[in-house]
Amino acid sequence: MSNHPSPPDWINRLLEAICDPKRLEGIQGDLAELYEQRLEEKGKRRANWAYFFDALGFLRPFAWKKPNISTSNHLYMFRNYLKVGLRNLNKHRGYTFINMLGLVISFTCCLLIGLHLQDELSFDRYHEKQDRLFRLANHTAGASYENGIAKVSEPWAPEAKATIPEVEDACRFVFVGQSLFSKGDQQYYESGGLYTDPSVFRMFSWKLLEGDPNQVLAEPNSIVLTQTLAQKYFPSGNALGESLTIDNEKAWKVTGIVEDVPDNSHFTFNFLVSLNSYTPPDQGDKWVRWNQYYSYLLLDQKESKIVAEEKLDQMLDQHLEAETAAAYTPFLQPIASIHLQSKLHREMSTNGDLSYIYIFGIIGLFILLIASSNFVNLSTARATQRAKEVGVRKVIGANRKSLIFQFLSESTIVVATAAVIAIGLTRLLLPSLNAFLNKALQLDFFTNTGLLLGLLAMVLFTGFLAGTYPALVLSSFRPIQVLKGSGGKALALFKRGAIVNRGQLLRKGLVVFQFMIATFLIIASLVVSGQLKYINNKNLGFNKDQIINIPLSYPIDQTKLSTFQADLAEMPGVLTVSASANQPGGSDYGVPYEALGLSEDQQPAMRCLVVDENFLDTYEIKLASGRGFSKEIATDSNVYLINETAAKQLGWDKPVGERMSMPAVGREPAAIIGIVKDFHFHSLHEPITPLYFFMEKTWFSQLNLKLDASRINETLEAIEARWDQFEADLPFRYTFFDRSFGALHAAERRTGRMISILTLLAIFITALGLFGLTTYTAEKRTKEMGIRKVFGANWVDILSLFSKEVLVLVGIGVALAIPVAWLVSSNWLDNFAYNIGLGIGFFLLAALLALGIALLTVSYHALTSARRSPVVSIRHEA
Amino acid sequence: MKGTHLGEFEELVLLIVAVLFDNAYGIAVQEEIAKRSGRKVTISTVHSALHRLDKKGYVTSRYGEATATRGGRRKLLFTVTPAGEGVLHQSRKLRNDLWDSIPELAFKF
Repeated sequence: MSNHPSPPDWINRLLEAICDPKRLEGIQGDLAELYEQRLEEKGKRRANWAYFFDALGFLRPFAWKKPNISTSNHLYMFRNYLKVGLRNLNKHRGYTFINMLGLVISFTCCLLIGLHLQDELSFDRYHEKQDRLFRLANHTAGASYENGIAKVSEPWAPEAKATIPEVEDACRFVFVGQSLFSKGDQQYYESGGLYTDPSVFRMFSWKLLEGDPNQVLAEPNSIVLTQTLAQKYFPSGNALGESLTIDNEKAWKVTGIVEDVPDNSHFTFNFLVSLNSYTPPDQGDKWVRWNQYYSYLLLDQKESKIVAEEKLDQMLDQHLEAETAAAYTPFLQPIASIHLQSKLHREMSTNGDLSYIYIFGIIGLFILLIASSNFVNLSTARATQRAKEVGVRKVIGANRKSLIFQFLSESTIVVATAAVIAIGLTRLLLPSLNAFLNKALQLDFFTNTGLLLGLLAMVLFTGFLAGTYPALVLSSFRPIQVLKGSGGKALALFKRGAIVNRGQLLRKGLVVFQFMIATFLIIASLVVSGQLKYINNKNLGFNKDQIINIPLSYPIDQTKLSTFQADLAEMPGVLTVSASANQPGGSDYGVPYEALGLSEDQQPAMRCLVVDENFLDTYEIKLASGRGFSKEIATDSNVYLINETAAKQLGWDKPVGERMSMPAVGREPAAIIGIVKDFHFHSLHEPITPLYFFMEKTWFSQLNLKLDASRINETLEAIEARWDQFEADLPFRYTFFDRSFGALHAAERRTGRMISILTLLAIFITALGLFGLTTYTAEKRTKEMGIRKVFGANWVDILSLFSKEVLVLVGIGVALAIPVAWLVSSNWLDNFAYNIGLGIGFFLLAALLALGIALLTVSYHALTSARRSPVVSIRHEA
Repeated sequence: MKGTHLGEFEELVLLIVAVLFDNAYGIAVQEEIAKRSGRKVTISTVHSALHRLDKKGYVTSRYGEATATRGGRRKLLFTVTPAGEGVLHQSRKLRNDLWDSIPELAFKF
């Protein structure tokens, strides 16, 4: 963040390039002075615009560098090129339209993709010390999560700061959970709170608007609000020193106000509270248990990472039992890498994915290449039509250099116009993209120099790429040959033919290339959407529909809860009612257990769900053997259920009847009474892992209700009415289970839709180019077709004449695309533990689609030529 | 050189350069024009007029001292040359002569 705004740098550089050096300083000085004035009066945005327009005023001859007399002719020649170029574009409006449309679409895609990627890559880079900030994470050998876990136990970070010289500072965060804020009669649930250490503002660059950065969270019961939250509760300002009641218990004193956390952060918060008012439950050894602390370390320099990791390992050796210490491997993650590269267990929020960055970058490039290929194709195809112009120019004295310059500038003008239109279109589409991605991207070229340079590079690159070939071919025409024209000698015709052939080879190559990319994209989007459909419809092993979850407040009054449950169960629209501590796809726990009579290596890491006797019915989870929990049997509050995977991995022959215990939470050994059929309690990225169930009423934190689909609305109203008797102080809240479970695959669904849209556009541009090309061929062969018809050709012959060549080219493109697409898609599918697999169907369908589209595009012209009366076509002058 | 004719706007700018004497640079001229005549002109217009006056030899330019504001850039200061003074006198004399020659009856409506 720059402390003092300065005028956009690129405008200054532009002035430097154009203005007479004798006046430059005076001009820039005056502009700077005006800028300062406007900055104060009107703000940065307006000042930037005014600066831009003022600078524009200096692009007049009086201020220019004084050119040598010999070069001034260029200016006049350029004017002539412009005029001829525009006439040409106007004369062939159809081609111009096809070119422009393709370019505009591809530029818009690239701009939008560029903005998205820029944002994804900017995550957490706004912290001044970002290169030295690391998150402390831990990898446990043998744990059910492979990559390690993002949080550690309480003493790790402070101990690291105290004993490791490379660690300059440390800061921990713990989730607060949803809390009820009250101030006067204002009462709202607020989420996104974090307990944290007072060092937070020393390490992270969130801007504290009020309060002392070193002191704000030092006292117990202090709270720092974000600007938004402060305005909500203290609209008159003066929040500092006031207090808020949280969860109707404690009063918290507002000691600071912090600017809202930027969206490009791997975690955000709405309020921070002092960590020293947080009491973790006592679970024994603090070094191992209750690993709820997201810990960040500030190192003295970024190169110390490896040394610090070694010393952290040694630190654990000192404090843990040898066996545990050997299993633990602490490691450090650079903060800027977390959003895209970290996939640990229990991330603070859903992270992005580096592979999607590559995918979108590549697709953007592909679309750009397809549009440029169209440009090249259409210009070379029409090159012969401008041969005469080139001939005349050469006779008058144009050299090859100036002709190349002419054609390059012509194509750059077309491309630049397309870019300007694309900028407008991007502005129009940006709000929809933001809504889709849930982001706040902005298109502002004044502050975003990177994007501006990118766009300029794109324009020059495309203009150059698309202009070079036509420029070289056209400028190489020999004036005598072209001017003699088609009626000339055989030699001239032959030479022209050679040139045209050379162009044709390139054109064919580009068509193959375009269809290769298009086919690749078709296959990719088919695979992605197929996999997504598979996920949506996959039998998860339970029924996720028509279930609502109602959170309960802690502590729970058991008698009140059971009457409430009984009342709910009697409602006609409620099918079943179940209480539980967690749910599939939610936070299942990893409480350690002991399986009696089994050795250490026969006991896999297991997750657990804490449920009551109705849970299996509510989610329609099936039993494989044994029985479920029952209300009638009193001892069922001690016993266990396990899933099939657990039954397989535990070392017992017949698990039902064996006993297990949970010494960490004081549960005595009790029997396993049943085995539950495997179901997907995580996203389909992960395979099903061992799981066990037990009943522990005091842990319950939510109700799960299966509703009758036909009257959900009335039922919800009835429940709300009943809720007020149960918890009068708290508002009624609920979530639909299928929606929260669906969130596990939200990223794939979004990416899938974006890939489909981009694929459609790519196909469209490809078809557009092919259409333009056949228009040209059809026009050139009009006479030929007339003669063929006279000799008795029917429409089938003419269609096959036109389509044969194109189909061969498309076929080659498809054949080239398939192996690449196969590699890429099978790689992507490997991300999912459960996937559709790559059937031949995808490739067949994609090939058929590509060929079909090509055929359809060609057949329009083929059929019009076929239907045209030979009298008309033979008279046609090509 | 397209001659030495002094346009209306050029005359205004030339007069203001004379008024501002030692501090006649782009923005000062622009502000003075706004203050005296109420005309809002862009900074590039002012520069362009000063440039024309320079070409015609009515003003000279030099760079002033470095300043802390303006991004540390010097001001391009203009002063009226003797030729400039001459052309101003000429134009004033022309106007005075014309005023003197208006018959009294001409403005009796």
